[in-house]
Amino acid sequence: MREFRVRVEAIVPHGSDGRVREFALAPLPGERLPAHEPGAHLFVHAGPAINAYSLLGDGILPDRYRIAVQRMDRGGGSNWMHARVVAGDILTVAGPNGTFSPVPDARHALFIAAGIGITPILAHARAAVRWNRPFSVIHAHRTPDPPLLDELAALAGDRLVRVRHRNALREAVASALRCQPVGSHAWACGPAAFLDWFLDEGQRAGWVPERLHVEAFAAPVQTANEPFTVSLRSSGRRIAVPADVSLLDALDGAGVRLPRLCTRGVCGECAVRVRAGTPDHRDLILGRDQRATASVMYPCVSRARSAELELDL
Amino acid sequence: MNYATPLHRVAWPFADAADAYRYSTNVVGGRTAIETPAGRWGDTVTAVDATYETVLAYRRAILDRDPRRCAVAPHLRVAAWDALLCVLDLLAADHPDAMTLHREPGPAFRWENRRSGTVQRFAFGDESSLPCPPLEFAAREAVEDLFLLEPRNGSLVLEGAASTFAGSWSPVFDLRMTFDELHGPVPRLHGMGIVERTERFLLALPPGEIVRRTNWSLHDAGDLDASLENAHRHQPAQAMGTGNLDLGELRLRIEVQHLIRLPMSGCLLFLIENQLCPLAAIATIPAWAYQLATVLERLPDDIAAYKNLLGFHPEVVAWLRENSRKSSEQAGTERDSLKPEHRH
Amino acid sequence: MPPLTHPAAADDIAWPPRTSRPEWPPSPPALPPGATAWTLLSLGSPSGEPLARWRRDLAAMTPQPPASVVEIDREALDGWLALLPLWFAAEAARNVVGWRIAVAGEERAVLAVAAAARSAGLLPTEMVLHADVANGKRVYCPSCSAVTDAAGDDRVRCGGCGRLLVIQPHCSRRRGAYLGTLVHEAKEPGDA
Repeated sequence: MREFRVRVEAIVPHGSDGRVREFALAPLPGERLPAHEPGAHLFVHAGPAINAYSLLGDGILPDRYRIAVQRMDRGGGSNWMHARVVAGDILTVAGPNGTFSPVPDARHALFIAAGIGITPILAHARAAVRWNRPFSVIHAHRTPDPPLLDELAALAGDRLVRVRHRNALREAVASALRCQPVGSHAWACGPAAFLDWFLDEGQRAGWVPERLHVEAFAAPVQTANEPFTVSLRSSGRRIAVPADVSLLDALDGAGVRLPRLCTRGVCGECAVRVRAGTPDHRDLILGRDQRATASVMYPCVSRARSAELELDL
Repeated sequence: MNYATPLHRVAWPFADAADAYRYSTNVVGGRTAIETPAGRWGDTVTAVDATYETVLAYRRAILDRDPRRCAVAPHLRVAAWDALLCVLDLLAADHPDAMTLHREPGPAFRWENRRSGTVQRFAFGDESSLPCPPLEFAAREAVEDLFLLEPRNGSLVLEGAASTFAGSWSPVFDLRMTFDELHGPVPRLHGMGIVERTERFLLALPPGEIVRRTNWSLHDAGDLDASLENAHRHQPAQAMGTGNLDLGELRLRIEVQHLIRLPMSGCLLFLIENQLCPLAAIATIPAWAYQLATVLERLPDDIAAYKNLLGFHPEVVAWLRENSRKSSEQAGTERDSLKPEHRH
Repeated sequence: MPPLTHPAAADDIAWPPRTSRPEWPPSPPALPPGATAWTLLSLGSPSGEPLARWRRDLAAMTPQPPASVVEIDREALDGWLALLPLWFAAEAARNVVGWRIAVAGEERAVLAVAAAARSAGLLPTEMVLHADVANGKRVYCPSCSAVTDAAGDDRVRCGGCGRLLVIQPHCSRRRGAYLGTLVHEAKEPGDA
């Protein structure tokens, strides 16, 4: 994925607690920002990490990118963005990466946003308004002053339903999933546990998986790591992967350096084909249904269920 | 129409030293220049040569009389605008002396094509600012056939076409088909896994990257419009190969295909430049004539039939060998050998 | 610049040959579970078997989804097909996501319903299709775009422009028709 640099033009705090900061990013002189699909995210070098942030715009020949960063207080990239970045700074970014895209022939679009999951949904609503596509939005928030809600409300008008609590969200979504016109699709962005529930509820409501689209913000809690071994097809070489080392790092240690960017299972750069063995997929790229049969894996986060994997390297 | 692509820019479709033709994904990066015994091709994505005005006029005439040739599924509105911008950008980048695309706030654009005489201001996404739908407008400025492939549920679907020069197929009929269904009629292709592999490759193509490949067949006419829509206008050279037909007038038909992922819609744009090269012209390049004769001679029957060779296969091979020998003798030269680093 | 390689392009898995001609199994497929409503159609089907089979499938589901049933016999089929687009749009408007269809009968009718269903927004996984009668194909003429009913399997004269067409094993689901390619008809001996 192509890396490039942008200038932080402005920083806007949202909400009374300042947990969310919006960054407006401008191109460098003489450059243009790449256009993109709505729902796409941008990878940002944020101090100790490379994080993915959804772009708030619909991607039509943008002059500026806008991202909204929620401070997670885990000592990672979001804290760095809040504490260290000021207007005028140059950031290194990559992408945009469009993995949460519209379905242009959907007869109706149902958008569901929980908390900071509002960011890609805002982009989708903006695109739907621009291209005159029918849609409705359910937005759930717990704080009294949710970031970007006024912008969403201005776009969606009476197509927006707001709920405050987890149960109210699930009721609203379950109800909405049972009354969408034939040919509708649904997009949900929020915590992983909610998205798992959403996919299950969609299927209970008779939706085929192709109609349900999710964008996760954080991978679910992982099971404890076990050591395993990989063998490389080309040489037969076997490499041990200890419990506390990622497959990507173990390969590095053995002199096999794969491309990488985000190192957290989002960007797909480190993709490698598996020829034998059963991977333990922990990425955010493969759909739930794909994991059982996928022959590709992402070694930055994924590991093995079987004792050994044979990689196409 | 009796068209022949200027020899110096013919995109010879057979890899160096290849004496047999088999399907492959044979993809390279766009704008890779290739030297040939006749000249050079491949530095640009779009073709604008001395024949541009003639070909463009023919293209526009076909679009005027047969509007079926331009069809985009209504839901691909964004992709059509995405494609228009892409094509005009490519033309302006490839031929800056003749074509310019100015960007204005809006976003709006001013397109100037000093070869075709077109000057057009338009607003992105505003159909009323163009004299015709966006993909058609692009097709009226370029000689390439344009196709839009939409990614859906892990496969590609042909959902848009602006095509006047298709080779022996019907883009109109094939609209809405998946990549797999489109290639249904091609012998052996599926059995080798190529269609599935190519589709996966294309689905993974990131925005901004341009890839290119070539394809070839034989045709009995110099008419660029070899589509099934136009078949009723051709009288086939009576089962090619009987005495009446001048085999030198047969055309090697070459497609130079470029693929680009469009950034705002995620759709794939397929540009296909169609080249026609008479066998008589090929005979003047002994290395080409030799190679083509050998490839054709060794072509399995089912592929030969698909490439329009049925019924005259041996005659064409014989003609090529005979006429390239004559050409070599006249030139008094040994058979050329292509430099090994020139790969397609 | 060297040729591009990509992980997906390096795959060596053999793939079975296929054409775009629809292939129908000898017996109707089972209805998959998960739908919240069904519409079952039997269009010119010689036997009641597909409908009976599907009714049994539905009865075995818990909860049993509601189903509406449409049965059209051969004689009435042409007339019904003429009204299909409007009928299908109305049927789709009465339903919500979760609704699926199952169609059995003459191939041309099954393909026509599939095309109408796609237009209404249904996905291929929301349709169960089964042709158990193959008495004729609809053939598309690329010269004039007319679609003509062909009795045989080989050739047909286009009902729009009169040209003779060879029926190719290349089928468009959207049109519910096969591609016809032009046969250049021989002139009298003595002509060029």
